[in-house]
Amino acid sequence: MIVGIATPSPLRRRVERVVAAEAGVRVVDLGSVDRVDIAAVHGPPPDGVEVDRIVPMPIDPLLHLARLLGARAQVLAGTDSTDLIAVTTSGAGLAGGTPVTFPPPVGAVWARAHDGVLVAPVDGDLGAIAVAATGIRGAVRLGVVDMAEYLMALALAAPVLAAITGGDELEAVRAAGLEIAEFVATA
Amino acid sequence: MKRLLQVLVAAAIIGAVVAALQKNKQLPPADEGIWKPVGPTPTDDR
Repeated sequence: MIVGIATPSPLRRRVERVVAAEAGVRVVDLGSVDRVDIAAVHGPPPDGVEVDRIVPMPIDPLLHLARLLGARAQVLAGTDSTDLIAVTTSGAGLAGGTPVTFPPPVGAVWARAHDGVLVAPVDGDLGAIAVAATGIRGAVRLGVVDMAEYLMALALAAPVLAAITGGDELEAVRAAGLEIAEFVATA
Repeated sequence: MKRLLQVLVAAAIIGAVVAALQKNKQLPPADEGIWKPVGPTPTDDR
């Protein structure tokens, strides 16, 4: 399977490596071929390339991954809504706001609401996601933590990985290396 | 002597302000619990 990736994101090389790790996949430069099976793109694919399937890439990768994780929490909890979707962003930590506990080593930090999502600035290279849902099967809290650029590259690759494997996006990125943790309360 | 007192008072005020700012930047308390890795194939049959 021939896959071309076209994005202005500085993470393009990382995304290509994630996708190229799939068995039977060859990642090519969309500007150097006449035809691809899948084009993963931000915007329209380049002219002059025959594309069997166009796969849009997410605009906000970490938020996209958070929504995928939120959907998983909903299924596990038996509900159709989430109690919490929180992501980190690069920056100096806040002095107050809404507390969110991410998986370690990020841990508990302050966040502020932005379009229904809690955004927590954190220093350093780590990125994290925390989601929660409560339903007929109980309360479920899931989270991830890793190098922020790696998480974003996985998230950018999620739709094309799902297109390649024929599965859902979260399972595709888990197979590609995403580690998910579940919070178990002790108090 | 008066000048020295002025400097000391100014230093004390600055110290109090810095301490207050540091206190405000304290992290929130973490929820009590542990994060456990999720198995490779989670299902909705819990």
